[in-house]
Amino acid sequence: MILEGVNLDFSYGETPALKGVSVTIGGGVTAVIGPNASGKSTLLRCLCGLLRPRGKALLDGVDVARLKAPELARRVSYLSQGFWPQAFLTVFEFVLLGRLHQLSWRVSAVDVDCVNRLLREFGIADLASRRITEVSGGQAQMAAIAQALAREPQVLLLDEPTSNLDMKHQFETGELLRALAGSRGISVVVALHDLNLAARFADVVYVLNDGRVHSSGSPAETLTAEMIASVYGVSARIGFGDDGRPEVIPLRVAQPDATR
Amino acid sequence: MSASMPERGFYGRLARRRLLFLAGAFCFVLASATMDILTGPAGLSLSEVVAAVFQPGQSEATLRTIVWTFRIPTAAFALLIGCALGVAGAEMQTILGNPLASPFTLGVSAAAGFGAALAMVCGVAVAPGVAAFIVPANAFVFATLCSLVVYGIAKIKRGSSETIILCGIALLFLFNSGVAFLEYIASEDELQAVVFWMFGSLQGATWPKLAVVASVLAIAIPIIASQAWKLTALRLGDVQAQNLGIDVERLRLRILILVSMLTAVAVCFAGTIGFIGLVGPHLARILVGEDQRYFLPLSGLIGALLLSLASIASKMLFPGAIFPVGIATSLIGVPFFTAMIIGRKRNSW
Repeated sequence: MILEGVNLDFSYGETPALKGVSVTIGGGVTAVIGPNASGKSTLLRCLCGLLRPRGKALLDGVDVARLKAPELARRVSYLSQGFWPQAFLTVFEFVLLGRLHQLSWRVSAVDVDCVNRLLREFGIADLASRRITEVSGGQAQMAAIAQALAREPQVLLLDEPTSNLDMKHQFETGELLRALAGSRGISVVVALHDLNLAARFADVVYVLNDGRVHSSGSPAETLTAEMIASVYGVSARIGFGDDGRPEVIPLRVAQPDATR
Repeated sequence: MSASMPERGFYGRLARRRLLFLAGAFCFVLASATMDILTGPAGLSLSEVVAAVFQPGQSEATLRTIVWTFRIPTAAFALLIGCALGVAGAEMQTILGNPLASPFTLGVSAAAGFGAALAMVCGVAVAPGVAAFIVPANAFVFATLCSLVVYGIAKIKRGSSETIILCGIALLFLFNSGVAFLEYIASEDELQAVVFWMFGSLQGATWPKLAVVASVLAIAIPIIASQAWKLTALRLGDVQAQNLGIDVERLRLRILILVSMLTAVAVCFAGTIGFIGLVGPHLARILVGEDQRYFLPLSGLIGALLLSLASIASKMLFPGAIFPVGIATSLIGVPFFTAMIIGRKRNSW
């Protein structure tokens, strides 16, 4: 499975959000990073067909705009940023809705088993009977990711999925996403603010800045002190862990000459 | 969990509990309807009513007329109108994502009322070729028009709750003032008809009217039920619903038309009965949550129960006379609703 964005241009009214962005998503975990308003969320929404940009979003060479909505929904799952469910549903029912495309009036054993398995995998099985509006933000976020996975998609697009999670759950989510990409062959695209999470869990990193792709490549290639100073305006020191992955230590707001 | 036994475990227990709520509500509705048939200003005894119901051929003509021409149609009318209002409220709250939405609060009832009053006072039909159905047709056209205006505003403002409700209230006042104007220019007979109708009454129940209301329910409810999962998913918000493959705009429009039909048919035959479309769904939500497979039927059943109880109360408040049911509805509904809200436990379902 290959998901591509080719020369994507998108504006909200007069405000351009994407300016000729091209990306290629193969397998593994792809992180999209960049400062606020750099176009991360817009890129994800264009890739899953929620927004209609100029240029093309292609899923295995087929324009996502031409795919029927149920087929696209089955293959590409998207979780929006700051998604905060308000429905009077239990956590179980909330996750079950992820399997909407195959639910019949009587919920099948396969659907029930799938949801139970996901709840266990995400460590929220004991919350199954709780109302989704009454669990913590982090727990709701875990349930939302589980819901996104419930339809067993080929591509999983997650917009800042760790924003409400504590450090342990951020790591667990990262490990889970890597496992999904590895064992189930799901292509995971995740927009992140936390550069160290991107460094630790991503195979490929796209750096967006002002609606354009600043750079892309492996974490070691993209997460450099120069990039961080240039894109984020922050001086940082880059270390490397035992596994050779970069570790970003932010130091201070960069001075104008910090990039030299 | 065994794959062959989906009813096991938490979800199975939840489903069974909700089915029990539905069965319980159905029993209450039956009991209330029976009580409704047994009560009335004629002061008939239980045995007389039972005999007239089950052995009409052996009952006196007067008794038969009272039971079969007045009491049974009125009791059935209360159930069907209440059900229509409950379902309309539930779906309006669902598609607008707003718990304050109901045919009454969004002005749809008032719009239907204005359309009906226009027909009664001026004889103006807004849909050509429907002279025999001028009142219900006018009510339907104005109810749909009002729903579309609310929907348009909701769409432009991206579903801002406050804006939708404020616009609904504005439309409520607009159509109410329109009705007031029609009352001002109406003749004495027309004025009496409009005012009595505005109180909300079940006394005009006839078998043909029952057939019309039942037909609309028989069309609308299965169509809404067929979209149960999509409507449930709509509560996740537009973006998530779209990403689940739902054509949100189309679904909303389709349901809105059905809701307008339900509201129009209820209002044009029974007048503006508020509260049920707002409270019925709230009570249903508290009991079974928002899985539409349970929420939709329970909203209808609670709507039917509330109006049936109001019908009984309207006959018992002033013995020997029939109080307008629209007034009795709030008298019955408010304490019931308040008790449910106060008595509600967290995670009660």
